[in-house]
Amino acid sequence: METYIFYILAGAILIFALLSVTTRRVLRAAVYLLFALGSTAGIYFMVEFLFLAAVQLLVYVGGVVVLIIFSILLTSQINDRLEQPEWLKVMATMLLVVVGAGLSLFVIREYDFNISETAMTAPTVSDIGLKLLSYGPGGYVLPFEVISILLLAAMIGAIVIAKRMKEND
Amino acid sequence: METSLNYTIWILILPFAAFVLNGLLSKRLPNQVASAISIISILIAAALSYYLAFVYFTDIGKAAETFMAIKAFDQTWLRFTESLQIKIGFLVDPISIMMLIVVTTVSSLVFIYSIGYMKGEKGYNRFFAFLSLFSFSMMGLVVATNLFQMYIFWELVGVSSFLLIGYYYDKPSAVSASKKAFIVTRFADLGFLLGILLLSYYGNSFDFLEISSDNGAAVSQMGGITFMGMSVLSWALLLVFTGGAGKSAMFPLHIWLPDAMEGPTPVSALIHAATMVVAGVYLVARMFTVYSFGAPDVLEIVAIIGAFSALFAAVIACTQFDIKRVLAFSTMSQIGYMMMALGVSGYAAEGLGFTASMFHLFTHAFFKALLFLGAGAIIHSVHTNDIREMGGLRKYLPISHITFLIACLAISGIPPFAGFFSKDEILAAAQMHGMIYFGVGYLVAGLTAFYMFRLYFMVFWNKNQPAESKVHESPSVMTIPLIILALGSIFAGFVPFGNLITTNGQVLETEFHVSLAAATVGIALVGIVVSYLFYAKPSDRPERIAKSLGGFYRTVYQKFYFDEIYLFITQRIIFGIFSAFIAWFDRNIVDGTINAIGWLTAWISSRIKGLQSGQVQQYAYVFLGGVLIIGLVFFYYWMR
Amino acid sequence: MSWSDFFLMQQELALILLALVLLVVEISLDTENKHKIIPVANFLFIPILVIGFLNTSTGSLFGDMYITDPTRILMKNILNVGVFLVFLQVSNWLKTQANNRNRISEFYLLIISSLIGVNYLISAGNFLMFYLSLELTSIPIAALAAYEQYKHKSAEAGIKMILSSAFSSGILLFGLSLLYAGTGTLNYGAMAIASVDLIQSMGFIFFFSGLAFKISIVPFHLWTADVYEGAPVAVTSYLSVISKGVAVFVLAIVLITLFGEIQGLWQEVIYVTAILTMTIGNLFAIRQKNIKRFLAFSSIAQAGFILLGLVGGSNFGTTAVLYFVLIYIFSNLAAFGVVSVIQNASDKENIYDYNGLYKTNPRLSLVMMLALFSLAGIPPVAGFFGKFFLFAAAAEAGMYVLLLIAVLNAIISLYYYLLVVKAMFINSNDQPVPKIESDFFARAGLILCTAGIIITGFISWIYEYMLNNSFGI
Repeated sequence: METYIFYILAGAILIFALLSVTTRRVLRAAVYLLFALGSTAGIYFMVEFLFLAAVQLLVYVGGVVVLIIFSILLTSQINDRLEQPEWLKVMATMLLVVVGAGLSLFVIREYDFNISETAMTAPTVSDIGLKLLSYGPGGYVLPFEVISILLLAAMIGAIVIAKRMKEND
Repeated sequence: METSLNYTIWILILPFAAFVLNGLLSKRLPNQVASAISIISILIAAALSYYLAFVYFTDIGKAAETFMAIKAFDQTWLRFTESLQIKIGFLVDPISIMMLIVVTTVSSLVFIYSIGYMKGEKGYNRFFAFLSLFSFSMMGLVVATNLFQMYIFWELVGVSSFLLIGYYYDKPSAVSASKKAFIVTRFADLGFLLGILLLSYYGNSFDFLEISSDNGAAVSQMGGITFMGMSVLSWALLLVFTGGAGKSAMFPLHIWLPDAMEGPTPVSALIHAATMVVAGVYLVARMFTVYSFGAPDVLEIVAIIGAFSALFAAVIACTQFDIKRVLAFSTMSQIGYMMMALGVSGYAAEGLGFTASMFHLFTHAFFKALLFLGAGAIIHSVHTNDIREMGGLRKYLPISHITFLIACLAISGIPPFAGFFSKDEILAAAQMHGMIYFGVGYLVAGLTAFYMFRLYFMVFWNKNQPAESKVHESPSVMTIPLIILALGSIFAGFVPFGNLITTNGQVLETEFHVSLAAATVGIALVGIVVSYLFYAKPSDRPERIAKSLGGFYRTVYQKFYFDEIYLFITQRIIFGIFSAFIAWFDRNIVDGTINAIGWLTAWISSRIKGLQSGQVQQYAYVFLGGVLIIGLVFFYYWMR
Repeated sequence: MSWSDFFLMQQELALILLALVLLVVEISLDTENKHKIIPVANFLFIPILVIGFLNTSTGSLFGDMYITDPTRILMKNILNVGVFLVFLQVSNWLKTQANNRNRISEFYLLIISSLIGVNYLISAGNFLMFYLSLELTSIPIAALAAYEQYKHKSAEAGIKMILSSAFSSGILLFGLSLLYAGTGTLNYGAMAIASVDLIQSMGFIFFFSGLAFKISIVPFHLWTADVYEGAPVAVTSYLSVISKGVAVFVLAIVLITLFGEIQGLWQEVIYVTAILTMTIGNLFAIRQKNIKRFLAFSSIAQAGFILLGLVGGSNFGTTAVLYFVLIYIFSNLAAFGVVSVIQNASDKENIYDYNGLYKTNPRLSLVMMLALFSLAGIPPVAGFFGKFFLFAAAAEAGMYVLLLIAVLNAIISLYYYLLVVKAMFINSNDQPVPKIESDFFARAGLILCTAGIIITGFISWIYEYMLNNSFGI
């Protein structure tokens, strides 16, 4: 049963991803992306990684994609269709994608992953919180703080780009 | 180690200080002060060099009947590894002293001469600053204790000659010439650099004395490692020689030298006659022990290239009409001579070629500098470089005339002038090694006499009236250096080189070959006579005989006929076709190849521009393609 | 973990402090006086430079997330000096361009954020830290590339950089995930790379490509020219020396400390990409008309030369890289400094605009000439010594073919550098760039760069120090 669900979800991810890059309407591409990311969350649920699944839903499905959809609605004409790409370019891209995917697949399949003996229990939110703020071995407080600087910098960057000259307004 | 040699550092410091002073204050100093600074500094350096030479050859240099190499000082500068270090030092041995003498003497005279020649030119102070820089770099090169120091100064010499050739920077031809000189010699220098890298990694030392010690034992292990059929040592030495060939304008890296004549004439005298262009010869001589023991095959190449360049340039010199270009090709030819002499030389008792080469370098410096300065005086007076527009100048420029004649006699190898002795030794050395070298050398000797006297007769005889009536002799600051150099050209041949400068420091017995000397003088005389017949008088001979055509004496007619055939064979076939072909080959094939390389680079560059389209999607595509290609190639090897 | 442990992180903490101080100063300045932040930032940066020399101890923090040792501190110092020079050059442009007036402090804050990323990147002891700091170095700069958003080219540069950099990050992350899959850890110390595992080698290839993007190694370089041309000169100079320098340093660190086992693999990869990078960079540089694009391709070619020092993986080679990057910072910043001064004064950025520059601005032309000579590697300026050691490193590794190609490329590069010199000194121009009086900071920056170009080669203890603090396999 689980196997079937997995294949259904994986197939959905693949199909939506493919649709997302082949459709000629921007808004549809964003919506397909939404489905692809949602299906990914489904896989996380399936392996009982609840926290990660929740983050996936909240941040990507709920946040990023919605943001993308908003910005598309604000900036472009929804009815506009993207140009039909040249046949040669499509073929070249296909080639690259197939080769890349084949190479990666082969490499991963060749590798003999050790499956750990002990049953893995999903971490709780409090485990994750403690890890994030721990400064000992295995703690993530430093990356956490680096992210905060990164976010600050990103905000300032956004301001720099968005700020208009007073005279122009 | 003698501490008393500390003063030698001033030989380097003084010209450098003059350069810094003149360079920094160039706008503020009056012209006289600027030139005085440069001249006084070089004169003191010259005096110190003479003193050093005196002390070395009479006192400190000799130990156990052998002239030793002494390091006056040797300061560590950059350290690669414990054993491999870069040092800056001052090496005192017979050839470095000989070169110091040459460089300081010629520099001093050229500096003084430049007062007159450059008078009123703009950038006068800048010119003297560059001259000082050049002398400093050249002496740094000469006294280098190791390959790396030599390379640094080698490049500095290149930079300062670039600045001096391009001195007339508002003249496009001068600028393109300086660029050409710079790029061609850089091309060769990078070969030199590769050679240094190879030598240092296998020999584990940059030091000249270390790599030459025990007959090059330190680097002889390189002989065992081979690359493309030749030992690494041979490759390294060949690459080093490439650097030398570039600086010394050996075929086919000579193309910059004739163009470099666009620079001011004193620069040509200093750089392109006596000092920089012989740096290549000096380099090979400096490492002669290594060449001789480590790679005799490379030495053979040196001899071949030297002989070929000597002949090639001598033939071209016969066809040129620009006085400075004739001298440029003549320089190339004479340096080819020196290279050939080094190439045919053996070691110790068979080291005549080495001694002869150094001897010729020494004497050549005098008479070639004299020729260039004399040419400068002539150009200064008549304001043209074209010898067809000159003629009959002997009455108007008496000092230039006499000194020029002395130089021509010296370079042609007429006794007792300096060139005779050194050329004789070179030919003797060539004869010992192989008749083909001797044959080439002998032929070049004749050609040299011919083209030098062609120049001499066309400039000083030929027509009776000078082109301009207001032609007059140059000021004495220009003629005195000429006279001093003329004295040098007369007496430099009497220096007993065999006692002083040899491959191993011990006295080399040189004998005087009467038959050889007679033969050499003979061919030189033939060359002179031929040029006299052609060029001493205006060539109205055909016209004169044309008048008598309607005439009566069959003998006269026959003589005319004979004359015409003679003229036809020599003028049209030999000089018209053969020489013209070589000159054409030089201009179109050798030059053209270099240009073609540049063109090819530009062409490839224009073909691949589509890669840079400005589209991010395409950039990403190439990016991913690159990753996957690397991945696939690796994968391919992995699976095998 | 005690308080004193934090001193190991002296440079990063000082930079964060500086950023906070600048934020406070920014708030306290009223709109008319925003430009007063320029001298404040410039002078407050001097202590940062000094701090780097105070404590050079070895240690690690936060469970090996952060590693420091004298070599890493040296690397940070080199790059901090570079940023200081960028600051000096940028002041005039920030002050005089009307469009910048109300965004001056943002410029400094973004550069400093990026520099914090640079410092953490060098000290990263874990690939999580590595990735986050890498993003921290590039995202603020992408925003700065679009700093002149009212100019089409600048906006384009920003978006191109962000897109390409996101793409390369994706590739890099994929490589990291393969490495994680192969070793089960992201910690440098615990990660045991073995040459027998295909997945690790493949992970390395993807990882390398992502990092090669930052160094602009061919074929991952295509973004460089467009971004360099469109971005403001100050940002371009930062990108060309600091972003590139840090990527080179980290590459050296990971190659030697982590991937030593698969040296055979990366040697081949670097060998090929070095040849491609030098050659392609040169061939494109020849045809450029725009000076910024020209310098972009020249910097790509220089990156190829830098790879010569890495290819052997020896102590000596790493020293050569450190030494070369320092000299490259001086040379490239001197060139960009001149470009910046001229663009600021006359808005000219084509090579033919430099015709006859010597007649009107002899000092600027001399600085530019020295910089180009140094980039071309002509003795006795420092660039020669830098290149010499790189060549020597390749010779030491026994890679003669590579060395030969490098030397040929050095000759080609000489040609196009001389073209610019020729334009400045020889070509005539009816409308030359007018005489320029640069301000105090710009002048100080150029003087420092020139001094660096001239003396770095001659002061042997700089090299000695690097040699003593270098590392190799």
